[in-house]
Amino acid sequence: MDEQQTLKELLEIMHENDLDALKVKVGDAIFELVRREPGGPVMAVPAAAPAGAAPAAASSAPAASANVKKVTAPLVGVFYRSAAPDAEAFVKEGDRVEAGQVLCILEAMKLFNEITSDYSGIVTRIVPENGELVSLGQELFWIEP
Amino acid sequence: MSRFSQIRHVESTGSTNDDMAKILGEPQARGLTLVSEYQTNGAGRKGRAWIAPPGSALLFTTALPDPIAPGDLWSVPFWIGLAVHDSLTNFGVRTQLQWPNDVLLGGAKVAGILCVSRVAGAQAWVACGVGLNVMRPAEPGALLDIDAPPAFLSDVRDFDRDELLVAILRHADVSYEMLHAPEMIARAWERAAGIPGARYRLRLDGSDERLEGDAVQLGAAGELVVDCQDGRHVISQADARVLR
Repeated sequence: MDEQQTLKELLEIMHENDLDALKVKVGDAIFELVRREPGGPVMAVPAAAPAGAAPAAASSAPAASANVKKVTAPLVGVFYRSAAPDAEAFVKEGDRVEAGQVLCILEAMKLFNEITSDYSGIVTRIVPENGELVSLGQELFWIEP
Repeated sequence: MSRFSQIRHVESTGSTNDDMAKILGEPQARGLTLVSEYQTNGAGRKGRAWIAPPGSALLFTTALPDPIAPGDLWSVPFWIGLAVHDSLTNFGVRTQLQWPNDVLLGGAKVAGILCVSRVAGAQAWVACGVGLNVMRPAEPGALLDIDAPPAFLSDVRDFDRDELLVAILRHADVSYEMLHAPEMIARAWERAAGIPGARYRLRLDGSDERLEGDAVQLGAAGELVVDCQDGRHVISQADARVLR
C-alpha cells in the first residue's frame, strides 16, 4: 500500500476518534503517530524497524539483535535523561545497568516518575530525545544482557 | 491505626521530595512522612524555586504505604490535593482547587503539590509533596515562587502546623481506598474545583499558544478538558490560572 496514503488514512482515524497516539502494523511496516501535546497537531514519529523485515534504505536506526530487551514507557510523559537540566544523565549508551537502576524520568503534569530498568545489561540504544513527549508503550531503552 | 502515623521531622533539608525519592520503595519509606521546618531547594512544577523561611510553611512529603499501577499515578496529586482541601474545609477555611496542582485561598495560591514516583515494572511507589503557606512572613518577598502574590492561612486564621499535618494525614488515611478507583478521585476533585464552570486561562508547555475557556471535566488521565471558542481542547501540559 502507498505509504503516504496509509499515513493519510491513519491521520483521519486519529482525528475522527480524537486519539493522542496510534501504532499499527501494516504488512511489514509499523506506523506510529503521536501528538506532541494531546489535543494538538498530529505528527508521525520514526517507528522501530519491524523484526525480520529488511531495513529501509532511508533508516539510520540500528537493528535490534535477537536478545535485546526493550524498556517501554509505562505512562505518557515527557522524557528526561537526567534529574535536572544541569545534572549528569542517569545512563549513556554503552553503560552497564543493573535491574532496578533508574534510567530516566517521565514527567506528567504534577508527577516526576523515575523509571527503573527491569533488566541488567548494556544500554545499546536510547530511543527518545531529551524533552520528548512519549506515549504509553513507546520504546525508551534497548538493553542487551 | 492510621496508615500514615509515622512522621519524621527534619530541621532543614534541600527538599523533602528529594530525600524521600532516595528511599522510595524501601520498607522504611512505606507510609512515612518527612516534615521539614524549612527548605532551601524546594521545587515547584518545571523546577521553579519554592524556598520557605523557617516557620512560615508546612512542608512535607508522604509516601504511600503500597505500590500502585503506573497507569493510576496521575490520580495521586489530585487525591492529596483533595485531602488538603477537605482538611481545611473542616477547619472552616474554604479553598478552591486549581488544575493541575494548586490550592487557592481567595484566588491566590496557598499550597502547591508535587509528587514523585519510582516505577519498577508494573509497580509504582509514590510520594506526595505538599508545600502549604501557613504564617505570613514578617519580611515580604521572602518567598520566591512567585508569578503571583501567594496567600497564607494566617490571613484567615492561625494554625498549629503539627495539628494541620495530622488532620491532612487523617484525611489521606480515610480516603486511601479511593486510590483504587481513580475516576472517583477525578469526580470529587472536579467538585472541589468548581468544574464544570470554572474558567481557565492556559499557556501550553513548549509553545506560545494561549487558550481561554470553560473547564468541562478531567480527562481519563487527569488532563483538563476545556471548551474554547474554537472548540474542545484536552490539555495535558500547561500553566493554568483559574479566572475569577
